[in-house]
Amino acid sequence: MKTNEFRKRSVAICGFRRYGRKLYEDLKKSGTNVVYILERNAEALEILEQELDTPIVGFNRGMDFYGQADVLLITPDLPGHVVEECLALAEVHIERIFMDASGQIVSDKEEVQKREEKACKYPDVKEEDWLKWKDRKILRFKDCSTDRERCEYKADKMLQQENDEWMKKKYPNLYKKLRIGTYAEAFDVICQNIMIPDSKERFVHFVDHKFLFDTTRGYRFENITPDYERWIRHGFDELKYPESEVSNKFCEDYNNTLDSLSSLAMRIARHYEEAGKAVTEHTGWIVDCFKNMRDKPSSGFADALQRILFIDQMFWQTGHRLMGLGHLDQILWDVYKKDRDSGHLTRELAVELLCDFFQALHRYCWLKSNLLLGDTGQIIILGDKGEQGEWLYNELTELFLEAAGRVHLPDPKLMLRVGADTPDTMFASAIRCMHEGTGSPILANDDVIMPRLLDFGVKEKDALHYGVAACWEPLIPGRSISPNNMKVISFPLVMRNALYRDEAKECGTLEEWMKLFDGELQKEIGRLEGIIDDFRFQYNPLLSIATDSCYQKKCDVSARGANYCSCGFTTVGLSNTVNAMFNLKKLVFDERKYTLAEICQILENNYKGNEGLCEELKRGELRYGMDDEKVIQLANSIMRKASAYLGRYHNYFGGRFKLGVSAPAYIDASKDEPASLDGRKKGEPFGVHISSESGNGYTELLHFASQLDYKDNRFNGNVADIMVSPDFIKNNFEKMTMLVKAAIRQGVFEFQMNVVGSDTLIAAKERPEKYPNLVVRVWGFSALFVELPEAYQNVLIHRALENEGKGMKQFQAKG
Amino acid sequence: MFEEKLLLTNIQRMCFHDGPGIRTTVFLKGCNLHCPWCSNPENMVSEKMGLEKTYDVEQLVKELRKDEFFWRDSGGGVTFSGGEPLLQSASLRKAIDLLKEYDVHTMIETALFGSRTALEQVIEIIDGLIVDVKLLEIDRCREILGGSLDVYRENVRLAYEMGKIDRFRIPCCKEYTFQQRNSEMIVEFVGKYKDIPIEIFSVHRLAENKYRRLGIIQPSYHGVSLEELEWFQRKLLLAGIAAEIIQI
Repeated sequence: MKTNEFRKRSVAICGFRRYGRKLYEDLKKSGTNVVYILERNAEALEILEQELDTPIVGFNRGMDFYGQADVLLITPDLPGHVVEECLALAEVHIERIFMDASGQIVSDKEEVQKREEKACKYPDVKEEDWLKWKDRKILRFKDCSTDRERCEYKADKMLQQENDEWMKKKYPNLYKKLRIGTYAEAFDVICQNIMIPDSKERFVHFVDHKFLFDTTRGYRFENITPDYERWIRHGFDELKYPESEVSNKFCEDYNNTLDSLSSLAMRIARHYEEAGKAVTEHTGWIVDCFKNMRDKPSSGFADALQRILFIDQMFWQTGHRLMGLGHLDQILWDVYKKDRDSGHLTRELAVELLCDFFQALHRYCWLKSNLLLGDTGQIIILGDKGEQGEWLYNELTELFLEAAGRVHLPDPKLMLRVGADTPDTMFASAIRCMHEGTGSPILANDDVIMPRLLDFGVKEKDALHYGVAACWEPLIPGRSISPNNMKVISFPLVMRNALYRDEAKECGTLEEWMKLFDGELQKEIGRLEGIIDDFRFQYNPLLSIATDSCYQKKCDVSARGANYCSCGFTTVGLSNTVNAMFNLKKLVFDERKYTLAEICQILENNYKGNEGLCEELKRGELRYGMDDEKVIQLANSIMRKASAYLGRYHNYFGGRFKLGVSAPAYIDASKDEPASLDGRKKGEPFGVHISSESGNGYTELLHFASQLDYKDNRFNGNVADIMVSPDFIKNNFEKMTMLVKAAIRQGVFEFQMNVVGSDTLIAAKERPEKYPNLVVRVWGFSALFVELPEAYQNVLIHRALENEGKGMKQFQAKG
Repeated sequence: MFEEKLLLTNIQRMCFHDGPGIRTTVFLKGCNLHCPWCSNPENMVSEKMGLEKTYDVEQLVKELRKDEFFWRDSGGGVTFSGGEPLLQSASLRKAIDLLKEYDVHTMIETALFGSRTALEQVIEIIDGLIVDVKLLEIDRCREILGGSLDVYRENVRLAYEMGKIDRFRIPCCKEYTFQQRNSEMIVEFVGKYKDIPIEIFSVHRLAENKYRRLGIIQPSYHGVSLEELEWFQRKLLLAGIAAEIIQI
């Protein structure tokens, strides 16, 4: 391709990481106007923003930019279908040119033609008008959480701008509709106006980008699991307050929201009825299913699945993020059993339905993703406890595991509750599913988690039914509205501050210095006060319908309608800090080889000229993950202090704060953190959850994890994370099952496995086109390996090599 | 006091191959053979690599018991390997005695070329032996391994009579154990003990770095392919012997 060809045009580059950069440089050299770069990778966005003078646009947040280019160069970094989806958000036509890895043009006409076929199907509005009005599609509400108006949603101020007048004249009704005052009105507009696609799939599940709520992260409800059970057991009308009971505004909104939902369900039924069999072979069934929603409970298993998908999509449509799905094996058990007993459903058909259900949930992965592609928080909880504390596993538990293994998608993900008395067959099923390599299920240990919940004040009848938020933070589905990942506390940052204190130089022992560390830790946690004070729950009738006790209390989730409203923080870099402290003790206080000032200098210089020392520090005698008393004591004492300081705070509902050692931020938080005394250089990632590189067999790490102290408020997600090669599990299936069971019996809090070998990962990094479906576990979610930012890919490769005893050096020499 | 100590090169936690359940394998230093395909040469030579550690028996048992929970749940325990564990039989006996106080399942992986006295010291108390079957031609065994087949055969007989052989383990090495004559003799030999399970595996060359660090030249030899192992497995089966292919 000759870059000169584009000289007189405005060009946008789609996908930058691998192939886009060269293209960008060539275009720049030839004097082409590159108006923006489309890149969906959150990490890359930040880095590139500083580096380039061209705007970098996130893949679903760049509507304002899309129309500015007249040609779009799509590199292999960004698959064509993703570009489609991005542009669908803004409904814009731009000439698209697809390029392969060598910079050759692949095809464009075909793609453009396809695009044109997808003409706007909006009922009353002409396509070209939509195009003209393209900046207006997202319902944006004022970020009003901290003032008195926080419950009044208002249409975005952009509606007041110039084009409004034109819109007002031409489409007065629609314009009126979009100037929305309250939640219920906004919700109704959404239900009346979202576009229903002609889905060929078995299940209907869609999100219309044109009517998304604007998400203000930190203030909205996210990272929670609504109660889906009531929607299956009742028609929407049955959930409403009887006329005589409607005594406040909330009751009205509650009923109106349900009415809006019913009308949307009817609209979908009508849509498919009119479209008929031409659209999908499932039309008849879909029509019945949606018609029933208003006044009947779910008629069967498939019907219930469809209903869950419908309610779930409305949460996404209304701007919720990281939505869990709850105890589906329990919720669906009655309808499943009824269908099975009556002969309507075979086991095989049930698995097929579940596979389709997973596919449907996965369909909008790109839109649902939070920080990285795949980070959707769609977690299904399997296994539960009955009133007497007896295990509730059933055939569906097995079927969910089986279906997850079969569809092999990174998302949705599964969590299985287990304990010492979980049957071996259940462990075996879990390991079989893990062996598929999707990172599911994560195991949660009832024997450790339930006592923690009870101690924290959760009622026993609720604790029995605990689940986890998007990743691993325990909560009570349908009863908690706890945002559990409000901010990450970075221990290496605290340690750095303590090293640089003037008083540090006078310390003669580690114990003396630790007092400074404690002071800094207290300060750092004090800084969270602002976030805690600022935090406000938002008015949200839809969530209130799906939250226990709001109905009885006649009050919204934002007005203490829910039973549990504690909040949570996560921490990062505990392993780095523990290792660094042992090194500090040895170098400065015991052997006195260096003064503290010299150590600070070495860190400032990023170990330059001290490579030997850096290596030595990495292999210190005592390291996090070793089951040595001293290591465990130090790790526990740091966490205990942090949790005690945090324990003093409450949110404005009186909810307390929790803490855990699993954090997604092991790369994000480390990017700007200078070198640390554990031999980590500037910008290198922190340790991942409870994992270890010193690995002397998994038993060491698991024994270590079981000795960490999760009491008080320290139960906000603590996952032991190991890398295993697929062959290792295959060849040692029984013993792996024994290992996992023993780990649970010993007291590991949560457990997850990445089942993948270093060879595969390295090959996939080098030839991504050959491994489009390779799934890996990243933090509390799984993702396609080739879609991950390089930093995350490297962490996984590094850990896999360490696990296989090959070490990073070999990889570096090879690479 | 000397007998109270054990010289070892490594404690490998979570071993899946050295006996039933999840095991902890202790590699003891010192060997009376010199198999060309040895993958733990640090145990064979007297030179120090800096990896050796002398443990008091009590200290060792305390360290090992960190994995006790995993042994209990899986029916595992401790396996002593090496080197030749029987060379430190007196201290080994003490370690096993102490482990027995905690009711731990114990095994020894041995080539059984040690003295009868050494074997007798541990045989009664040990739960099982993993016995290597290597070169069975008298001359080649003496020249290549440096061991006396008479001693070996006698030890195997004793261990078998006492019901202590848990399994035979056959390292397959193209130039040595896998040669036609020797492999035939192996089939004949293990055929005498049909009730004992058999594991066959290919030797590997992963110890290259260790040899380099020790400053000794790694002998030239080759492992065998999976197909060859399967062929050998079939051959054993024809003689009425079931063998399992393992990866080490």
